[in-house]
Amino acid sequence: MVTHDEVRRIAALAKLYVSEEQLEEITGDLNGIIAFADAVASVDASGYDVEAEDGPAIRLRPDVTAASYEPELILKNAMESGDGFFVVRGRG
Amino acid sequence: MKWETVIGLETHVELSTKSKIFCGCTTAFGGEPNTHCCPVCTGQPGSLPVLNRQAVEYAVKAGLVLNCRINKYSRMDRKHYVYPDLPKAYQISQYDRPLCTGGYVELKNGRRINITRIHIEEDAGKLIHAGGKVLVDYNRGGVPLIEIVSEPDIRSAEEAVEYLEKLQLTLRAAGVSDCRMQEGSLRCDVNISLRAPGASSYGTRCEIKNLNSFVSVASAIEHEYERQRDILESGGVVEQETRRYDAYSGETSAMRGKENADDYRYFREPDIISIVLTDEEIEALRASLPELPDARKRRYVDVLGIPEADAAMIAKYRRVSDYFEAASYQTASPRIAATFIVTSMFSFISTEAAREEWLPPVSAEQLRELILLMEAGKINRNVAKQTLSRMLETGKSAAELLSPEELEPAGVDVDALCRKAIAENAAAASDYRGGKEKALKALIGAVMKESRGRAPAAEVEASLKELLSKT
Ligand SMILES: [Zn+2]
Repeated sequence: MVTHDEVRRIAALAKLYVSEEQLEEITGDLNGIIAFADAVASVDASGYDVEAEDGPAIRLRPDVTAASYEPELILKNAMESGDGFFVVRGRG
Repeated sequence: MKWETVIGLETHVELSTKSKIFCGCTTAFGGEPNTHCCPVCTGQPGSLPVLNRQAVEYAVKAGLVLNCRINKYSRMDRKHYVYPDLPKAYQISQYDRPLCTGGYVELKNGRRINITRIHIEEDAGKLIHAGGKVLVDYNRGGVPLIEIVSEPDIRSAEEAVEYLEKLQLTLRAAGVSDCRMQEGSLRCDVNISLRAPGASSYGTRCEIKNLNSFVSVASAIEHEYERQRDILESGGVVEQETRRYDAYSGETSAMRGKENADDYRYFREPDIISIVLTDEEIEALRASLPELPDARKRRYVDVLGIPEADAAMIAKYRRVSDYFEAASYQTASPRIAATFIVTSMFSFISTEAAREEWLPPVSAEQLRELILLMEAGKINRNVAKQTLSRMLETGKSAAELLSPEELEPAGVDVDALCRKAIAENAAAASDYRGGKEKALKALIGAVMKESRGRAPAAEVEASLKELLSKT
């Protein structure tokens, strides 16, 4: 079970402000997610070897460069930009 | 009381891939801000990372040359922290299943600095603090890195620097990174604590972040030793904290304490499935590794008879090694090429960077021609040395620079010299007759010494063999 204090701490680490009213709701949501994860974890997977080489093979990318985007496009959704940079205020 | 310093290093090395670790953007250094970027490396919603094969292979090679175990199964994880250099608010890294574990670097004094692990991850962007604002450039964001974590086995600033130099040399030789500290492609965090000599447990450690030169590593360690010693000797307690090093003052200062210690909430990167390597893939990478500087140096000393110090200086630079091997190819004594390189050529090409790059005005073949002239007795050692200096200044070959008179045969009586050498070195002569081929070297040496290096080596050898076979 996740407590209110843990939710406050996680929010602080993520630099999110959570009001007292939201706290109850978010704590409930997170506990629901954890209960779901617990349900998944309760499935018996003892016969399945996660490290077996015959699992799905990762598809790796060849080391080839591709054109990057125009910086205008990259900066399009920035809250603030200037001289080609993203601009962040304060101490981040 | 003299305290024992306990140091562990976390070294970040940028891999020499052409493209970034999860997208096709270039890894070229520099560029206008945010021009080497795409939705993947700027963390745009909906974009998906695809792992670069070359980054995995370079990391495996790094593991192999640093004596690590390569894990056939490893995986990527998300490391969370909120800071503007990280557009996704997490870095894709490896947590509990890194690519390489174990391993070591051996120092000159024979001590081994053990390596805990090597994992792959993406580099962060660059921040420029300007007034109250922070300017962000993500060109470096997504460049592939390996993080090499050492055990706390290092005991002094000198050992830390030697360890880093060895890493730099080895990784460069393996071709996985250029390890340029001034461009940030090799940088490290230093963990340091003090303890009473002989103590079995460690003291409280501090971490000094982001050091990007050997000088700052050494100076940060020395400053931190003094700071912690003063605290301990005045009866205080060292606080566990992260500190930053100021290159201008040479001092460290607190960044954040234990109460704000990193809480990265690692979890598996769901967009990248596990990395599974086969034995065949790992062995193919092992087979593709070039000869490393240590092995080259050994071979120069043991097989070619090069003095240890010269061999070390040559093997240190991959291009100089290749040059030396070409210049000494089929010469009677590889020592001559070695001596010319570390004396005349190294004083002409004097900086580390220039030796690394190694673009001398004299080609290896030109140096070889000069040495062959000397070994044939056409010129003596002094003339050869002077000619090499002129070759370096003018870029011309020995044949162009030497006058016909200078190239005249030395006029030594080979037969007489050889008879004299046999008479004066009876033991070597009888050894040779008794089947010890090596004894001939001593006789050739005696002739060369007597003629002050002017006798043609090939002719001397033939003449000696003939004389020795007669009686
Ligand atoms: Zn990109």
